[in-house]
Order: sequence, then C-alpha cells, then structure tokens
Amino acid sequence: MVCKYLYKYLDGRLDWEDRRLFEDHLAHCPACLQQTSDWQQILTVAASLDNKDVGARVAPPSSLDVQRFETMARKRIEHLGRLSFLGRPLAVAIAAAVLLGIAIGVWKNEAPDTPHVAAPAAVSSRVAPHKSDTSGAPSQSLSEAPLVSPSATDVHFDTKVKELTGSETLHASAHNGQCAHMGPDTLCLFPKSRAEVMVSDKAHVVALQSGSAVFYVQPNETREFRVTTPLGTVVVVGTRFSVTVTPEHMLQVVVKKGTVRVEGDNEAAMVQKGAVARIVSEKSGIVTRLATWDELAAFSVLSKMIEEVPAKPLHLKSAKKPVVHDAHQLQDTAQAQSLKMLDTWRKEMIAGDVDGAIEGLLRYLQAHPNDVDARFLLATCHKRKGHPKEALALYQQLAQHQTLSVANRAAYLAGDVCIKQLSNPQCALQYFTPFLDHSGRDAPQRGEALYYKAEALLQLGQKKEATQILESVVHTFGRTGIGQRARNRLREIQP
Amino acid sequence: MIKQISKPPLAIDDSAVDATLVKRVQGGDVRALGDLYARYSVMVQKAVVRTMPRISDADREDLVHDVFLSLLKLVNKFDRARVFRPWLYGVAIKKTQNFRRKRSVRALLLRQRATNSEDNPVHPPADGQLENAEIMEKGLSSLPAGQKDVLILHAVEGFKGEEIAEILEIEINTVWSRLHRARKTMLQLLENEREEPGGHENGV
Ligand SMILES: [Zn+2]
Repeated sequence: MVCKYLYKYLDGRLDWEDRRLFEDHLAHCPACLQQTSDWQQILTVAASLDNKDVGARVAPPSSLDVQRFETMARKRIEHLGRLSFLGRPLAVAIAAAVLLGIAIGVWKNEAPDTPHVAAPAAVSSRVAPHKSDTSGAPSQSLSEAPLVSPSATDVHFDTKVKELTGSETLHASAHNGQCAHMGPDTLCLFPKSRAEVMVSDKAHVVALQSGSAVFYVQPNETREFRVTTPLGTVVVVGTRFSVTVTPEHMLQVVVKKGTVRVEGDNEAAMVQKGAVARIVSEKSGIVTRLATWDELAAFSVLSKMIEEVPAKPLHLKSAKKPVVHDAHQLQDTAQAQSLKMLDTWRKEMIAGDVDGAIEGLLRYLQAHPNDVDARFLLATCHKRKGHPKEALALYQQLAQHQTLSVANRAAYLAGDVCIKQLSNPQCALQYFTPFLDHSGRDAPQRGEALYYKAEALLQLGQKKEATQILESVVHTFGRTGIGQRARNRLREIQP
Repeated sequence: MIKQISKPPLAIDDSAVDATLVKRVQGGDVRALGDLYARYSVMVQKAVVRTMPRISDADREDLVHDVFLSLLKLVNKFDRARVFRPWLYGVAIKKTQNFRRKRSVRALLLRQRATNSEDNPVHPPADGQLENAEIMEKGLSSLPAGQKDVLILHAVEGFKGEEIAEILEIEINTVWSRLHRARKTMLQLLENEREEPGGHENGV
C-alpha cells in the first residue's frame, strides 16, 4: 500500500510524518528499497556525467576576474542612470498590470531634523554595512541629489482608518500619518501632508497638495485613479508607487510595482517599477532613473504599513476565487474535506494567491484551532509573504506541542526561518539544537539542520565547531544534496 | 514557454546572505554585485553551458558577465521574499536562449555555405559490454531534453520542485511528471540489466 509513495519520497516531497512512515516501510519492502538505491546510483551517475560535460569546462573566478567585473558594472551603472522610460505604449502597460499600490509623497529638501524624515546617512547605514568602503562609492551615481525620502521606520499612523466617500480633505498632523479607504483602494498620508480626495464611480482622484502618501490601488479598467500635484499628474496604470512633492515644487515618483504615467506640462513618461521620475521645475521636463534601494526600502515599509492598518482585509485579489468557508459550514465537514481544503490553500499559495490562502486558513482555524497542519501551512504562507516573524511565532507555538514529531518539525522550521529569513544565528541555534537532540539519527532534515547549525556557528565566529559539524554532514550524507553543499561550504571556508 | 532549458550548478544555498547582497545591489552597490558574481559565477557558467553546450569559451565569458550586469536592472523586479539562487538560474537560461536565438540566425546563413552538423550532438553509441554506469550514462544522455533538465536541476543542483517550475517556467505538475518519466526510464534500464546481465539492449 505504502509503496505508492515511493516517487513522492524520492522527489523529496513527503511531509515530515509521511517520510518517517515511508522509511519504516523501506525496512520491510525489498522492492521499494531496491528502487531507492537504484535511484541513488542514477543520481550519482547523473552528477558525474554532468560534471564531465559541464563542470570540467567552468572555473570559479579569480579575484582579478571579480575586480574586472566590478569595473564593468560601474560603467553600466553610469549608463543606466541615464536610462529613460519614455515612450512606452500605454495600452501595453495596462494589459500587463496586475496589482497596484501607489505611494505618493512630498519630500522635503530641508535639514533632516524633521521627525518623519530620515537623513540619507541614517538610511544607508541601515542598508549596507560595508557600503562605506572606499573604492569609488558606486551608489553615488544612482542617487544624484541628496533628496530626503520619507523613512517609514519612525512614522506612526493612526490606527483608525477612514472610509471615504464623495469629496473630503485629509490632513495628517505633524506626528501621525493618516490612512483611508476609497472603496477597494487605500491611501496613507504621511505626517504633515495634505490632500483632497474625490471618490466616485468613474474616478478616484487625489490632489496631493503637500507631503507624501502611499497608495494601494486595485486594478480597475473602468475607474481611473489619478494623483494630481502642483507640478504634474500621476496616472495609475496598475501599480504601487510613491509620489513626493517638495515645498520647492519638486515632484518625485517612485514606482514599486507596475507602471504609472507621469504627466508634466509638456511631456509624459511611463515610469516602470524600480524607477524614479522627477520633475524639478515646470521647465525641466521629466527625468527618470533607477530607484535606489533606500527609495524602495522606504516604500516597502510603507506598503507593509498599509497591509497592517486596514480594519477590513485588503482584497488584493478581488473576488475571483471565492475562498469563503464559513465557520459553521466547516464544523460539519468531514476530516477528508478539511484535508482537501488544506490542499486547495496549499495550491493557491503555490500558485501565488497567498492572500487568499491566508484568509481561508484564518477562517478555518477559527473553527479548528487545534489543526496542526493548518497552522504549518499558515506559517508557510507567511514565509511566502515575506513575513518571517509571523511564521516564527507560529512555529514557536507548535514547538511546544505535546506530540514530539510535531514539536520537532516546528523546531526545525523555526530554525530554518531564523537562519534563512531573519539572519539571526542565535535564534537558529536555539531551535536547531533541541531539534537535533530530540530527533533520531535517521530523521529527515537532520542533514539540513546540521548544515544550518554550522552556518549559524560560522556567523557567530565559531569556525572550529562549524567545521566539525560540516565534516560530519559530508561523512554521513555523502552524495546527497546536503552532503554536496556541506562539502562546498567546507571548501569555501578553508583556504 | 521555455522548452529546452539547461541544467544548473552547485552552489551554497545561503539565502540570508543572498538577500543581504541583493538588497545592497538594489541600492546600487557594485561590491555587492561583485560578491554575487564571485558566489554564483560557477553556477551561471554551468547554466550557460548546459543551455548551449557548443558555446565558445569567449562567448560564455561574455554571456556570464552580461547575466550579472543585467542584474543591476533586473534586481529591482526581484521579490526578496523569493529565493535568489533559482531566480538567477532562470535569468541565466533566458539570456543564453536569447543569445542562441540570435546566433542561430547567423549560423543558418553561414551553414548555407559550409554544411556542418553544428546542432546534432554528441555521444556516439558505445559498443560492447556496458558497465552499469555506462548503461546509465547512455540512458541519461538519451532522455528527452526536458526530462534531463529537470533531472539535473533536481539531482545535481538540488533545487526543489517549485523552484524548478519557476526556473523552467513550467507547471509544477510538469516538473513532477518529467522527473517521474525520467525516473521510470532509468529504473527500468537498470531493472532490464539485472534480468539479462550481459545484454546490451539499451532500450529507452
Ligand atoms: Zn514498498
């Protein structure tokens, strides 16, 4: 019976418990065992064949190669800095648009002591630890003027979210930002910002008079979304972007996702994601360049803010796929059906509809608070969304579970999040160590846990212990993927 | 969309470090890009060679540079919740395919004069008694390209199913079915060999 799991086992996609079951089965089933060992052989041959055909022809770059490459890259950056995104056909952009959000802001060119504005120095120190290294200060060429962008870290937004209908004036105080819904669209104004908002069936128009704002805009073919500023207009084509207007009448638009059309007095430009457009004065025209990380980083925190602020869930995916499972509906469903639903959400998640999956899982968990699988899946969704902390919190709970296999699995996954997504070696050790203590010698993922424990130790400067662990991984797991990785890592850390 | 893809190289899956480097590249940090280059040059070289086995060394070098330079722009499209390594592999494949397309137009023109069998590979059939390993090598090289790509990505590069789907721009189900077909063929080959030792029917 269990034999049918053989391929899934070889694929490496049985989950924790099933793997364990299958490995028990292997001990009693010569047929499966034979195929498993044949497969190992095939993999070994495949690897050596590939190495003969391909591996022999390539070589790691010398440090001179790397330097040469960096010189080429500097030249390329200068070139890109002058790139323009003018002249893209609008219709194409509309067709390609999927998801939108916009950030609009007014950035001040003043001394960086205003509470909601961070000095560029502070921003970049947050980003690149050794960016201040000598050697040509490469990022300079991208971010010409020291324009100060809104730093999201120290900004507070009122938790009350207004629902706007008709025309209203929004005014954010000196200390707090202000968020509002306009139907499916959401906007958040930065402190000291002011905008007039007009909501109708045909258009959502925001007249940003001063300050900065972030927008999430649902794609809508029949309703226009437009942001007007003293210097120009930003038309949403399907996007997430930020607009900034300085008191000196400088307009800056940063596009995080999708495409917007920026219209100045005499020209218009399509600005695509990852780019910045600026209008410095009425006469200057539109200048575009690539956005710097700082600019995008400020935005991404803003985006997160928007996702967290609304009292009602943001339906980023609209109502195409109904994931509505009422709690009472769920209560009388059989276990089989709930498994099926978990599968549905898993598929949704893999297909990219993580929001839909999360929404469904949260409802489901209200009715089935003890469903371990649903919790694991929810954690996976959070990881997908780039919310490792939420995932970690779930794993932390699950690691306390009374069933050892559940607790072990959660501990492993918690360690995994710590090392891979949170880059926190202490946290990783805190979970991998008990996992390794409590799981059997032949537990799945043991090799990975050892490998990443070693990685955490390396990051903490404990090279000797890490080396020992890596050697044991090579020894125990030999030709498997993790064995190879450990071998490579050893080669890397040993001169 | 992509039919013939390459197979990937070994690298350290160290996504946390990658994430930091990518972040810095997004800020225009050339040194971080240099770090990524140092880290993944081998993987990208392999991706290029697997996609286009007959590429010259000089072309390969240019193409690898090109892949990493293109990151300056592409990296802004990169969603940092994703894992960098498979994403980069996918970029390398696409670049190589573009290169090959352009190249093959020119090759076509040239071939009208000199007829060489540029695109017909490889591996002459071995004669005589085949060892297990040789049988398998032969079997592997006769797998359809799509199956082989998936197999190499899975077995040699250690990518997960979902990552392979992303790299090759195919459905996850296609990944599994290709892998399964390859596996079936290969296991069958070994099985046959066991049944009639000495036979060199390399039926595929
Ligand atoms: Zn069996």
